[in-house]
Amino acid sequence: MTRLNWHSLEGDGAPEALSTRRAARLVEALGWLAPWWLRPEVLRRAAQLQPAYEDYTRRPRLPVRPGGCWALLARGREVPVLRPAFVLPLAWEPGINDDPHLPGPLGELAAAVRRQLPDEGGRAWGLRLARPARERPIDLSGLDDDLLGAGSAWASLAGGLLLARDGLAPSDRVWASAAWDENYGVGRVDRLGAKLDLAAEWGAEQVFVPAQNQPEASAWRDSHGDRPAVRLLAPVNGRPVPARVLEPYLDELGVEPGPEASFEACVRYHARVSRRRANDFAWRRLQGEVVERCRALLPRDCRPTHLVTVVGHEPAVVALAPAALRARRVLLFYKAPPEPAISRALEAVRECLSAQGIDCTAAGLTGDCVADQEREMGQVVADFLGDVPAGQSAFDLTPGWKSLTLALQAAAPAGAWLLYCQHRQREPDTRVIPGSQRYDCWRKG
Amino acid sequence: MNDPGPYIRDALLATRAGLTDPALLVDLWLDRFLDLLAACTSLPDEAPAPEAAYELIGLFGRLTRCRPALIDATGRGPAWDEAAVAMQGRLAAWLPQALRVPNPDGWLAEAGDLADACDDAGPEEELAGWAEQLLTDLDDAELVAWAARREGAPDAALEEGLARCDAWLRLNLDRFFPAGVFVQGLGQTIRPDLPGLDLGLAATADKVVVLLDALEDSQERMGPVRLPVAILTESWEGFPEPSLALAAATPVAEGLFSRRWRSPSGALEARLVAGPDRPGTDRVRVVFAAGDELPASLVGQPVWLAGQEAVIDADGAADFPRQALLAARAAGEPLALRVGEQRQPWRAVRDE
Repeated sequence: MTRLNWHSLEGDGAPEALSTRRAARLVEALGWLAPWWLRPEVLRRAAQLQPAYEDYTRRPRLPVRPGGCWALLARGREVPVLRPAFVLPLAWEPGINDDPHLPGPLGELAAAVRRQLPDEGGRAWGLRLARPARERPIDLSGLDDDLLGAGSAWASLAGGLLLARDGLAPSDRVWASAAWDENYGVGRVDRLGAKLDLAAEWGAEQVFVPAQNQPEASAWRDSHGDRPAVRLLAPVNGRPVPARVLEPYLDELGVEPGPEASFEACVRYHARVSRRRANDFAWRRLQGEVVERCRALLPRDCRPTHLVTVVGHEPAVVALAPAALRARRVLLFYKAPPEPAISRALEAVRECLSAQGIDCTAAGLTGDCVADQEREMGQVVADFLGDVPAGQSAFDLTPGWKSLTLALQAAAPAGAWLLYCQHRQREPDTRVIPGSQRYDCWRKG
Repeated sequence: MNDPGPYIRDALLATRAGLTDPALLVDLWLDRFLDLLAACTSLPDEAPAPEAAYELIGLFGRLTRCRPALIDATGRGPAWDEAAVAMQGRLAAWLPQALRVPNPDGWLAEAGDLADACDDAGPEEELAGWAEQLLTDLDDAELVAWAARREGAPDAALEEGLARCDAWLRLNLDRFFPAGVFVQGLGQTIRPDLPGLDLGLAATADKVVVLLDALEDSQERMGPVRLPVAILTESWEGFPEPSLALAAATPVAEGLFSRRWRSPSGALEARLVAGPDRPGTDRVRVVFAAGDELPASLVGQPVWLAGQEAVIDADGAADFPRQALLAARAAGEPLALRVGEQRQPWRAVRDE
């Protein structure tokens, strides 16, 4: 295998002046990297001689399976046949060593990323060139860093590794170019304009760059528009933690698991993305499984038909008990007039429960203190339950403001079931771990 | 009969079967050397980059070590003679740059990785490429160290590091067996009278001798159980299957299939490249070349690929119906190339 060397590519002039034979030789020299690195004009010239190279004139696929990542690099020196900025497709794989054919500086960066992000499970991860199966290997170990700027691939490599460990796939619409800085977490990168040009050409929707590059990013946006959206990774003071620094990037980078994904994989995705996205995902994708797990843990004699609760901001929390109990009717209290977020949650809960055949009634409370609210609730609850025996009713004290849940507990008739959902939380933002919920159920004395 | 010397072992299977290709190796080295030297001397006031100086000096040593007949066979003997003189005049100036590159500790670490991969029974083709690369790396470093000694400026730290690499290699010879064909081809490039000409340069070929010894031992003990990776070059493995998917917009993840052949003289080359089977791609093309040039002598000549006939057109290309090739494969035809009225077989070569 020949070691690729910049010198072998530097001798040619403008792509338009290349003979088709020379263009084909350049494509042969770069092999599977040709569509990533060579200018389109060179590829088109080569395809005039060898039609199979037409395939290389189309945008190749980024490695979007778990472990995939791509270094967005730019050359510091003009080489007419090469793109000013280019992508090197890579993949983290468990239980292997780094590919010996990686550019040396990128191999060093991979080792640094591994040191920064030690695997809690003790698995070893190696970085490979993401070479298509039919293509021959290419040795890039001779490429020097002056022309690569490999440090700017830090965010891509770290993001790829973090997702890989969770079995999550990256989105090909989300790119990054950011170096690591010991003091501030992210360090500026060079030749950002060329990189953004490439990202725009290849359909990226968001590119994460260090905040230190904000002037170049703004200048680029002013002249090129807002696609892709350039998003800044903020530097931090003190001791930066890579995973924290990359949070906004990871939030966008990880692709939501497909319908075939296991519950555990979904939970890992839930933990990786922002709280807002996680809540939305839990509601759409995890609620059904969470309901079944909670139902399996309910006491055998706790089978109420009527349930009363308070609407909080998270519809998943409100809808969980009625669905787990398979209640027939639900009464939902809220503080009137409802905040917009409460209105949205109420609507979502009604829609969800109605779809399960559960009849929902909502009641606004106007009282400002617990005693007033308890009085209001008492009357509405009495009407709601009618002649339903107390043991057939349940009061879920989990969601909503504490004053309302205190009032709710007081308004529950003796003998009714009281419920409270216990759960485990994930550091550092105390989000609930899906599947960890279970209900404490007891009778009001 | 001339003594083939310690570097050629006719008893070894790949050597006996003619699977090795020393002429091609020398041709490639010389190509690279001349290109690189021209690039590095085009800017007279600038020292070449360390990597370029390192590669150049390594190639210079390797070509100096070659059998002269192989260099003559490339048809570029005079160019080599001239370039070798030019190189000797620059050795002293470029050596400091080159000596910045070798990293014996890095080599040892990677060799350890190779050993692990062998233990894990990694893919043979990958192990072969890896072992070959490691041997080439070690050879480059030893040749640069030789050049430094020759210029009266030996690098003690490098010498010490290389001694450790050499010791590792001698203890782990079997790790390099996947590159057995390459080792045999490399040995065949070395002039048999080398020790008498330059003992220091001959020392750089010692590793080839010990590896050839070990390969012979292994073959004697175990029999020729495995044929080398080079054989794959005539196989159909990876040739695109017929596909009903009309994935015209995006290239498939598997990439392009390619095979390469060399003419018996080594001067001409043919390359087949085939993409996925899609509408509008019912033919696959073999392109013939003499370096970057059109091989005018081949235009109009008949050519057979897997027994299917075509004619080389004015662009130096021959097109074959994909369906006919698939049928030939199904009939058990090897993916062999024959050129000219005499149906001269061209040699399949591994992609470099």
